[in-house]
Amino acid sequence: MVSTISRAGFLRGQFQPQGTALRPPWAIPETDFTEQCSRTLDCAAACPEDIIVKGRSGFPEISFTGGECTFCGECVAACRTNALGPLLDRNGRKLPPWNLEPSISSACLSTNGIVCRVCPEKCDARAIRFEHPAGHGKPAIDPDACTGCGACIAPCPVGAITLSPRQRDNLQTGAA
Amino acid sequence: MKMNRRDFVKTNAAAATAVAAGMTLPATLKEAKAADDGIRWDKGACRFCGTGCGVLVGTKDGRVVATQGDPDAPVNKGLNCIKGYFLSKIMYGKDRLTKPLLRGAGGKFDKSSNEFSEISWDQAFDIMAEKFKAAIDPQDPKGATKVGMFGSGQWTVWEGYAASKLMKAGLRSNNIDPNARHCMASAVGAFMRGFGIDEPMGCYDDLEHADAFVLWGANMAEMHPILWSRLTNTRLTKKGSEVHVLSTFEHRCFELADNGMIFTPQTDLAILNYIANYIIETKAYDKDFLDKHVNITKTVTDIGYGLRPNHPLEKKKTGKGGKLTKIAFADYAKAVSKYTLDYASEISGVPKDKLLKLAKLYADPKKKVTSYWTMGFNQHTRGVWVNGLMYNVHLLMGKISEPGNSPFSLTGQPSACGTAREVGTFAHRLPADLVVKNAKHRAAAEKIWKIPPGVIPPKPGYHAVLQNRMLKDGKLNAYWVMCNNNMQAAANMNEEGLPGYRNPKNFIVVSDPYFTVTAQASDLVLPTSMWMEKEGAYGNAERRTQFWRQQVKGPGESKSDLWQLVEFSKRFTLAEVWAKDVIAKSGYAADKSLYEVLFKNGQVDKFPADPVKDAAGNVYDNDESADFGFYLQKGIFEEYRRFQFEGPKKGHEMAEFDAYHNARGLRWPVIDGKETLWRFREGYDPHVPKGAGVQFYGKPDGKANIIFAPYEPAAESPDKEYDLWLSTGRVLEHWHSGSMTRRVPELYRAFPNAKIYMHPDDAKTRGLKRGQEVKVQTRRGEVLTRVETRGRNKPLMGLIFMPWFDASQLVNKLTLDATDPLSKETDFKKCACRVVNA
Repeated sequence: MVSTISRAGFLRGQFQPQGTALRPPWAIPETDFTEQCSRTLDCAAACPEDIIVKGRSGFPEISFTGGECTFCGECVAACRTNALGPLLDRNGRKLPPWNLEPSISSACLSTNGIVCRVCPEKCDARAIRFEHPAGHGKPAIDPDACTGCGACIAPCPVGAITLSPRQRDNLQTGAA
Repeated sequence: MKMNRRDFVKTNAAAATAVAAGMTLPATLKEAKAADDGIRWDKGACRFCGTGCGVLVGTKDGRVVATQGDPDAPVNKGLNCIKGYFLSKIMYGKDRLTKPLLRGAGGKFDKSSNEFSEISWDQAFDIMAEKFKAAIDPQDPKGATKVGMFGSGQWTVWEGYAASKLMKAGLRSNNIDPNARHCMASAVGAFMRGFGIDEPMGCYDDLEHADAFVLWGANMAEMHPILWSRLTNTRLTKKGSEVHVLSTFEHRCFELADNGMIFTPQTDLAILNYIANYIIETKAYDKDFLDKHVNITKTVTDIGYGLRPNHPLEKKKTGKGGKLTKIAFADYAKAVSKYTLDYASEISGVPKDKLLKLAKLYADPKKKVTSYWTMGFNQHTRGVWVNGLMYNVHLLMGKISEPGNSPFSLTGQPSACGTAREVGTFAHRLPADLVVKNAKHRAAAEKIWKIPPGVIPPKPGYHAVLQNRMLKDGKLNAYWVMCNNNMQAAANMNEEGLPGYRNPKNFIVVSDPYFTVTAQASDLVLPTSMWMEKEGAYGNAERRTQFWRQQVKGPGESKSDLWQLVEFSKRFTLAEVWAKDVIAKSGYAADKSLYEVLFKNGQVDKFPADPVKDAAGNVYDNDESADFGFYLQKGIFEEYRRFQFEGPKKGHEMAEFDAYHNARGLRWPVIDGKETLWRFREGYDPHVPKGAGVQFYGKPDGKANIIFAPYEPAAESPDKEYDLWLSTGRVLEHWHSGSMTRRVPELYRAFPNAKIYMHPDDAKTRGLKRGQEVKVQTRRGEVLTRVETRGRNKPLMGLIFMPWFDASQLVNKLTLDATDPLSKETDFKKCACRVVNA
């Protein structure tokens, strides 16, 4: 399936293509999620960063336009169904919140000869680094270091950064 | 970053959607589209900093729809910074002003009202002329000291020229100063003292010629990103090249630094004297160069801090002014001998090995060194001194005026050089480096301007800081602010700026495209056409003069600054502004208007209002030509050129008007159509005669000045009560006060609000967390902001940095209006503050 961004969605800053909605962290797999989720949006109400919004068909979705995920787990705690969680595995270790793949599209200003250094500064995990190959920097994301917090998404002036659920074929080809 | 099939498809889908949504696109995509979508592309110059990047401006259906770095522009070679990329959007903020606005309800002026009402241009000029005339006594031999104007290094060349001529030759007031006073005045002072002629001897080609670069108080990575790209390119591709960076806090340039140095504010004076001392002690200096081309002098010391005369610091000072005294080389050597490595390291806090490495670089005769500085040097209570100390180092080594060896003062505004400095919009200057206090210079100007002797007042007018003080004191009463946002810029807004504007005795006019902080404080706001809405010319930091054609019309009833200045001149007859005996000498009738004397004078109106065309035959508007009936810009430029060729000072020659509409800018002096890259050196500069080798022809004896000046402390330093240094500055995403860039959604999102950059331990000891709201307080005011302990700027303990673009956080409530007593430029980099929980 070729996913597209709707014009209206794009203007609202919804850079996530339709059909691959980002669910809150620690969400169960998508097919189970839409069955389990009660659509009461308790998670959204609990989110201190206000990044969980009512999405298509009333399901909660993550929108990074107004903030970033701090992985506080409040959404999981607030969820009254099994759609989110668990936070911990059997041994009490924190489970990964999600498996998101960051990518920078060719719209990126820096890769087009325009000096812009917005994204690396927002990245506390230091997953985005700038190198100086030919006099001015270009960003590169280390997908292993990326936590998927989304802090880089809203500030990007051209919406060039996306976080999407990691796909099987991407994993195989070693994307980013 | 590898791209798989899925990413590729997603990217293209995103791009297609972006087009449909009218979003901005990266240049590569635009180029591909440009050929067939009906966009007209023409060359232009960027509206922002002093780099002077060439941009291609794309216009469609009367609207600028896109810009991109001009691949044919020698300055930026197709590159752009993020601000330049979004240029097309600065004209289309939702709140563009389209009608004149008068304070008071129903079009009736009321100084005490909080409301503005729309009026016509006629009504606007009526009340403005009434207020200006009330402040002018034409018989006063001192001229019109109660009227004034605050202009801009963002004015086009002809706007600055028209403003200066209107004020100095028309209204007979030298109270005109540009915001470049806040920015370049110290650099100018040092050029005049050292070389007798303004502006850098080198050019941007040094970015490729130099072996090493030293940055002194210049964060080029953010403020001059395109020049930084070129510098980075040289550093990464030229074997043995190195970069030294000095600053009072760590910033992005340190990423590339081979030798990064953080020094205690104000101690750059000591470091530079240490380098001179090292060069002399190691006998590395170029004796032959010094003997032939340099005079050694010292300056008067303990000269105060340019504060109001009743300030305790001013009462304490023992020296005054900038008089130079010739001294022997041995005396100079003795004067700098105090600045040992130990002393310089101790006072500056920079480790000895780093200082030694820096000194060795300058002292190495085989290394070509280019030094860059911007506001770190200029916004300094010893700004002229510190600029001069930099030249001392280059002159000692003869590392000057040749490819790669260049002391280079970068500028912050697009035409601080081309307009503010070159056409003389300062309170003491006239076009082409002439000054009002020199009788010969005044006479030359009066002759070219076809006005009688004695019109131009000999006494320099009020400079920027003094204008605010005089407004507050009620001595400056009719005041026109054009093309700047000084209520957000000038230091000590609470105690000086705002009380001055709101003084009931004063009438304040502000011309701006937007309702800025300054406009909000004014009495009359004039809607102004900007950038591509008029034909323009800027001069950048490397003496490059660049023109552009008018691409679109301004919104509503907005008019260019040029139109406003020339149209307003119609409101005055000679009898209302000049003394009777002066009019009698002039041969002009007393009821002749200033418009007829200054602009319709047989020179400025010499060229017909023919259609403006480019090489491809596209026709462009020129609203001023259409209105006045002659090619106003060309007439002004050609009259201005007479100063360059007939005036008493050589070295500022420019090409004919039409040449600039064809070229990607030309660097003056332009002699026989050929530009000059390096001045004062034979083979590069046509003014240097054969056999002379080097000649600093701005000075009568052809010699430059080494000027000794000591370290003296800052006006205000941290103490128990206010325990931190406050340094202010800028960020890459915004330009100056943000009145343009903060209206571009993408730039706003990228850096929405100012914040303070603070060392994590300084935050910790105050119980502050990253992101927390805090109050920054100084003796003058307080501002609410947030703490940042990470990111691009990393101060050491004891100093905070706060950017300056945010109208919701007026940093200038905090800053001190201490100035360099020589240049009258404010020190925005140093005052004492404290940070407390909000």
